[in-house]
Amino acid sequence: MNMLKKKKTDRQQSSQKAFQRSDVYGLLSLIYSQEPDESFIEKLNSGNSRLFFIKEGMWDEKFWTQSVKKICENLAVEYTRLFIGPKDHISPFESLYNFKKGDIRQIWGTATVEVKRIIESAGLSFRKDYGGIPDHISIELEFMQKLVKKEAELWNEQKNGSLLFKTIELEKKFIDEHLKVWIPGFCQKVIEAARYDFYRNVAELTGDFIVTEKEEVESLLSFF
Amino acid sequence: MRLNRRNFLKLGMISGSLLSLNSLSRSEKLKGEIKIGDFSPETGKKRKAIPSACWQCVSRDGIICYVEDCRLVKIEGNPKLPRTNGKLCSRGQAGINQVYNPDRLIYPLKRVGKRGEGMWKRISWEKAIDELTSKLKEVLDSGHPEEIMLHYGRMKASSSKIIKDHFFTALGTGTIGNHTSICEGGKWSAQELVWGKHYDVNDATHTNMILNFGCNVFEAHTSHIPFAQRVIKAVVDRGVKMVTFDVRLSNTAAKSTEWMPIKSGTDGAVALAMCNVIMNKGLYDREFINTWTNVTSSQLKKHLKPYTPKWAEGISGVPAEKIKSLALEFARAKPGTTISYRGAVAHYNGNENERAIKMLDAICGYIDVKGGTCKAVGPSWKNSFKKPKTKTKKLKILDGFPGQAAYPTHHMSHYVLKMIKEGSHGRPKIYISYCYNPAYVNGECKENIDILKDEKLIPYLVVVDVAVSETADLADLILPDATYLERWDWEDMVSYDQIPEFYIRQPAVPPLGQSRDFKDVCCQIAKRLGLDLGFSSAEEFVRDACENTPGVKEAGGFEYMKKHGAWVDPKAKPLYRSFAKEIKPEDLKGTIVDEATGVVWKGKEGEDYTSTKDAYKKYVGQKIGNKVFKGFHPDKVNKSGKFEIYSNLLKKKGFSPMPTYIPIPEHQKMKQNELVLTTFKVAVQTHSRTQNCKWLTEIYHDNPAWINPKVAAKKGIKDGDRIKIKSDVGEITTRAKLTEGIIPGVIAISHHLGHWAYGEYASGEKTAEHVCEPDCDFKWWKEKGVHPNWIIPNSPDPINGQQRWMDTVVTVRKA
Ligand code: SF4
Repeated sequence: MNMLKKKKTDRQQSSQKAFQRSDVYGLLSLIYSQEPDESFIEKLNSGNSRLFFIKEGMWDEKFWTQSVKKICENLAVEYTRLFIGPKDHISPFESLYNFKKGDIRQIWGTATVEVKRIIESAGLSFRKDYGGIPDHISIELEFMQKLVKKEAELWNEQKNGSLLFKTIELEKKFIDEHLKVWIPGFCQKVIEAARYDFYRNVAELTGDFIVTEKEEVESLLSFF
Repeated sequence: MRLNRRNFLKLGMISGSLLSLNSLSRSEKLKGEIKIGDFSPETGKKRKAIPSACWQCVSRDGIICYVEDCRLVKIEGNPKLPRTNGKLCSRGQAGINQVYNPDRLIYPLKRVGKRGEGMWKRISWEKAIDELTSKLKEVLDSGHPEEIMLHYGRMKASSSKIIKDHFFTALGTGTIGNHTSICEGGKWSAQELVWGKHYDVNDATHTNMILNFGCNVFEAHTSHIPFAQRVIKAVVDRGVKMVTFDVRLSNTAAKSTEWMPIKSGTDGAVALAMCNVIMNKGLYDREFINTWTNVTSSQLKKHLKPYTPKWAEGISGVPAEKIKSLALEFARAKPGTTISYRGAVAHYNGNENERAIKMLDAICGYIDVKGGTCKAVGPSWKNSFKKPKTKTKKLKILDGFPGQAAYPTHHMSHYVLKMIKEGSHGRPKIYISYCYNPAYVNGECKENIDILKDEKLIPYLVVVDVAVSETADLADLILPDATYLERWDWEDMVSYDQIPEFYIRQPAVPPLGQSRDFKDVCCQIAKRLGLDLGFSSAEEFVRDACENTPGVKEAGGFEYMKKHGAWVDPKAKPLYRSFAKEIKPEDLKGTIVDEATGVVWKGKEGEDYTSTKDAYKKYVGQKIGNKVFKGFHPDKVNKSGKFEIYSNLLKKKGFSPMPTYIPIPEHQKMKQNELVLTTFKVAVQTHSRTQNCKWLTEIYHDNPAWINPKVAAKKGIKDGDRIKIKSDVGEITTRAKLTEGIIPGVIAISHHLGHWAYGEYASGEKTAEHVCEPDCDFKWWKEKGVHPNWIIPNSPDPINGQQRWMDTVVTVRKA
């Protein structure tokens, strides 16, 4: 059962891809978790990264020619306006979007409890100084980053086919029951509300990525 | 961009390289290794019950919080606490909404645009505390600590001790404002002139008759649920007669034995006339009057002579016959009790109304007896930490302009902003508002906003709150406070059984997000400033009190209190007639007798009690005959230990020493078409801090103006019509609710609604930018009500400074 029907070279490829997927999760988690700092903006606005985003039509030249400090300040204010408030904002917590009949729609809702439980039963715990809410978009993405990284490592260990299967199954479960349910809709709201291309593009990318991820895990599971 | 195989590869690489920066390691929130086993998150749900204390209103009832999966899921009353008897009001149960409100503040925010422009940046606590500390230090270094102002709305028990008595005292500032004058301060000040320290507790459980002057006890009261449940039991189970005098058929009036419609601000006239009847019929309590008050029965009769029922009928509209029969019934009830609140007190003549009502109790001998109007009994907690000895300085901006009110013993908070604007008594450089929303809760909202917005008047404005209030909107720094369900306190609200109840508040869940109890923030700032408070957190302070308070300590201290939430001495007996307790001769060492008043106090030989500053603090007892009794302990003013029906203190300031009726000047000059605007409360909201609770706002979100059909007809107003209400300070538009439940001369609006901030549930509207809060998609109602304070002037009772909520003269027309 759960035997892997892939050749070694295919496995290596899958591993590499998983590492990349994990990194994308990581990058998105980072962007949703905090306002970008100067070193991040400098790196983003240079070399390959800059070329890539220009090529993909995700670059508002005018915005990016401002001073790094100014860019950071603008994005910090925009981050707060979009995701924190204090007034109209787009709450980045799953439980406000994903709920069933009879649930109370609130921060720390039913979905929050489920997410917390999944994360903790996968062996992770929240840093003491976090004190935050388990279904913040950045936490869910960080969880996936770590899970997919585990998957990447497992592809290289031939013996661990059943563990690999379980890992991918958990990815699928988390995508199907959580990410997929709310993140695309959330991103749509961000796309409509964003004043800068940066967050609009990030939201677009996130929405897209979640959709491709669903396809990806489904196709991976078909190898078993 | 659409993701495809080609660009994904690149994106992956770029992501990896961007991630290699330090930034991410700082942002990671999850730790540990992924361990995939048999994936089966447990499904059984365990509920933890955590006893604590409510705070949705000032009554602070005992609660039990049920927590499931680290989530607060239900709040019930704590049956172990006698005050609560396991019962809560809807606000208490909706406390959950305070914690998980989608608009909850969970990060410190710093203003980046112009003040009030709405541009914010999240900052870390470290940065927030850095910034505030350096601002405080700057002011402290200038040698003017009084330029640091704390202005609070609700801050009780250990919160008040830690924040005010320890932290702000250590800073050296006494510029600490409260909000009592917009609440019920005038009632307390009037009582201080009569019988000393508040509160008055009506012993409903044992009374035989209740006269209620303008209190909506079933919907609102300082001790709402404890008191209301005892009153309703008296009325329903024992058939106790309760008569409610009110301009409006409140739910209390409706559930009373009788509703007595009365003209606004004339309660005192009725009380005086009742006293007149009782004195004339000889139904008074001779012993109490002669021994414990500072007047004689003949003095009283003489003073009351002009206040006949007929006279009172002309003023109040209450039939003379009714006044007479109720007076007789009341004097014969033995015991009876009078309730009074803002309906009687929030007027130009509020002080006198309250004094007259207290006199009514006194002449019947219903003072501090079983079933009467009692002196409050509360727990006395002991902490081992000493209050800092720092000598504080304060700006004279707390009590209104000099001479505006004779004895504003609970301050004039509604005048603080005006004082700051005028400036001649100094201005705070730092204004910290804690659980207080001055822009919204005072009268003349427009002026409040203008002052708060002006950086020249208030250079640095810090707001500590759980939601973004109208004032937070104008702040420079917003600090997200922990809600009452996430923090520590010992509690000390007065008992309704005359037995002290010790209880605590403990976190049901940890503070959400990065919200933080302001008490803990104070401890952290103190540390940065090198001030040694002796404790470093609210929890430590509460633990210390539990380990040091006699009774609680023996019961098991902190651990016991965490488990049970409350401790009441099983052997304690209800405390009545504490004033009649004789003071032992050995306790009189070092005291002198003030010949003029009979006060026994720790003054210096030759000092005069009445005119010595703060002499009341050295009061020991009252000499009567050749014995010394506890008497009626003075508070805040140098009153004697007698029940002072005759007030020398008032006489000194040019007011009538005996309770009297003062007509309200504006009402004397009213034109035919004008009405008096009064405000009121409903059971499911507090003044300003519950409208963010969706369950409550779903129940109550609209507040049309109550207007009598006869008056409306004359103005061509039909039920539901849009109307404009105009006063000297502004105009509001609302809808008319035609009802016989209001007297013709008055228009009434509840004062809970019409927020323009405090989250989407409170402020009601989605703004143009709203694409956002998904939770609001469920909101089925569009109304948000209207706030009457825009058109109510800030104006004090000339004796005690109480805000005159009920005196505004308005014109009303169809919109
Ligand atoms: S009356 Fe209601 S809101 Fe006030 S303390 Fe009691 S339960 Fe809480």
